[in-house]
This record gives sequence, C-alpha cells and structure tokens, in this order.
Amino acid sequence: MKIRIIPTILTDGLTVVKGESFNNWRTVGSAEATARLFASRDVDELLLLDVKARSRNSMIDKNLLGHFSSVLDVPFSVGGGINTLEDAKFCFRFGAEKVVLGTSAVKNPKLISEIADVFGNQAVIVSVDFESDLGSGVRIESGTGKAEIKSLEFIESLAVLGAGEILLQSIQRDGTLSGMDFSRISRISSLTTLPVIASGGAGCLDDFYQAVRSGASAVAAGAIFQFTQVTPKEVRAYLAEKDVLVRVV
Amino acid sequence: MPTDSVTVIEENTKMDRPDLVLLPGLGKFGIGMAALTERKLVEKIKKWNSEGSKVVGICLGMQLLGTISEESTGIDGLDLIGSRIERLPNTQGERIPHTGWAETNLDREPTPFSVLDTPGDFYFVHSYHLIPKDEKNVLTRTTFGEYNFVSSVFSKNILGVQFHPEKSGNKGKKLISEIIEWARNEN
Repeated sequence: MKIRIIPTILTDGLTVVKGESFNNWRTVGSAEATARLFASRDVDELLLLDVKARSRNSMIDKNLLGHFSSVLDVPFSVGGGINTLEDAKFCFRFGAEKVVLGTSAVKNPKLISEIADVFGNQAVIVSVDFESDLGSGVRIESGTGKAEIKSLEFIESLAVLGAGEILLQSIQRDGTLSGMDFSRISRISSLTTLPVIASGGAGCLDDFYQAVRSGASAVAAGAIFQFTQVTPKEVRAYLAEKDVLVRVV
Repeated sequence: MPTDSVTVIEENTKMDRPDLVLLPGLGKFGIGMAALTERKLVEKIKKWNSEGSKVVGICLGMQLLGTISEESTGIDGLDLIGSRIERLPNTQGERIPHTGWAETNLDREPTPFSVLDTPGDFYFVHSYHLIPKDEKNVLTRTTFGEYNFVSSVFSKNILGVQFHPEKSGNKGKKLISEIIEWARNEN
C-alpha cells in the first residue's frame, strides 16, 4: 500500500492556528486559503482539526466546512467536537471522507460502531492522544484530562469497535519539529491491523521515512509545512528515493 | 456548450428519464440499498438503464451495482453487474481498510475512457471489493499485496469505479469530464 503524507490544518473554527504541545495557539491565516494552497500542490489527503470545538461546545463551523469542500479535490478528514452520529452525518454531507473522533470515542466507544454501521469502518478515524506510557490512561480533552481506560487496552479494542484508522498523536511533540516518537509508532502499529497515521514532531525529511519504517501507513504533520520550506511533494520524492511507494501524480 | 441540469433525487422527485444516474459512495451496502429502496429507486434505476440511461457507481455506488455483498448478507443489490462483493483478503500483509492512492491497470482494450490509459493514481478508501461473474466486465485492476482486485467495471451503459474520481485531483477531474461526455452521447 502506498504511503500518504497528510498536512494537518488546525483551526479555531474560523482561522488556521498553530500551537505547541496542544497549547499556546496563534493565528496563522485563513483555513480556506490554506486548503486551496495544499490542493494546488497535489497533496495526498488533508486533515482538518478544530482544536477549539470542545471548549466552544460546538462542532466545526458549517461555512468553513463548505468552503473547504468547494476548494478541495482531494480527500479530507474532519475532527473536533464530533459527539453524535448526526454530527458525523453533517461532516459527510459537507464532503468529508472520514471523521476523526477523539475524546468522544474514549468516553462513548459505542459512537465508533454507530458511525461505522452507517458509513462503514473506513469512514472512522480514532485519534489517540497518549503520554509516554502505554500502560497509563488515554489522554482526552486535548490533553487536559485522562480517562480510566489504558492507552494499550483502548488501542487494541478499536478494530473490533469498528474504527478504520488510528491517528496517533504525540502531545509532547506537537508543533515542536523535534522528531517523532518512532519506538511508540512501531509498538502501536504492531498492536493493530488498522492503518496508523503517525503525527506529532516531524521536523525533517528523514522523520517521515523513519515513521514509515516504524510501521506508519501515513504521516500527518502541521508545523513543518506551515513554518519551513518543506512541502508534501518533497517528502514524497524523498520517500520514493528510498524505495517507499508513494502516489504518482 | 450544452448545459446539463443536475437533480438530487429525493423520495418524491418527479423527473424524466435522465441521461446519467450517479450513485455516489460512502456507506455500508445494506444502508445504501435501504436508501434506494426507501426512495423507490431500485426498479426505477433498472428501468431507466434498460431504456438507455447510463449508470455510474462510485465506491459503495459501484458495489450497489452488484448482486450480493458479504458486508450486508440477505440484502439484494441492483444486480446490474452480476457479481458478489467480498471483504479484501487479510492474507496479503496489507492493512484493511485499503486507504490511499493506487494505480489502476487497464484490463480492456480499447478503454472507453482514455484517461484510464495514462499514468497517475486514484484515491481509494474501502474494505470490500466487487468480483464480477463475467471477466469481460472488468475494466481495471489494482494490486493489494499480491492480490489483484477489480477496481472498475464496465458494461455498455454501466460504469463502476471503486476509487473516488471526485477526490483524485486532476486525473479524477479528467475522468469525470470523460464520463459526462460519454453520458451526453446518444442514449
């Protein structure tokens, strides 16, 4: 299977924001313009996460989603504040390929099955925010809370619950460009048969390659594409040189 | 330029026989068929197709063209392409769902859609695939490990694609234009 490189666009509902370790948000531009830019660069897929949805107690803005859908001719996934089947339906109606469940999947695992039963397993990504120890509780609410269920146990249950992909996020490394947690990517990829999207900390071309070698089916990254000259296309070319299969445009 | 009108068919939509019926994707087989049954579209689509309407199925839409599916047993498909839908084999060392970009290799000459004879990938996201009874309906195949699944089927006025042309960048747009051209041809 070919490896996907997925730029992550974080929004506060209206504009693109960028943080560090899921904190210190600052505005970096219009979400629509960012999507347009990436679409023109033949990206494999995009990930749109509303990081303020839960604190606003609402899911992503309808207009924003509509704008996204109209400028994108590649698949995109949407996450942030999706709590019900109706919320998910709303995202699919606006052209999303997949929804990303975080806190809601931990607190209410049945939601995964409910969405998968209607839209299929392939439409549900569960994002796992975790600390260094797989034996400790899954982090929820953008890293501010911790659930009872251990990360390890939670990850192992996801395929049976009906998830189609796992988005593995490293809170500690988010936005730091400091390299990825390869040992954990490797450990978790071997625990599941689902494709794993590794995310958090990619800071140079080789990080992407190492994540793939560790078992990731896709690598998502934000900061490196926002703040450095590195483009997703360049990453694909680098991987291709190393005999990793990537999209042919 | 001819102008096309597009109608989203709801339960009580009254309309003449269209040139093209498009069955889009995303969903489980049983839910997709239930949505067509509720809107009383199953017999209607078959009738339109027999009278000359072209039918295009995308992703789940392609699978709905089939006869039966492992995903939702006991539910009949449209049966426009005699086939069964099975889960992708888990013996290939590949993760399921099959998610991402992949090549489509032509299995039919000449192709009714010339863009399928050019390099470049399409975007796939699926766990099931269609196995046609008749090999002559195979349009393209795509590799999944060592396994070659049927990634599109074609039969006179029916096209099914497992991938998403609408999410496949420029190559996808070209295929959509070719589909529209094909639908405009006499039918």
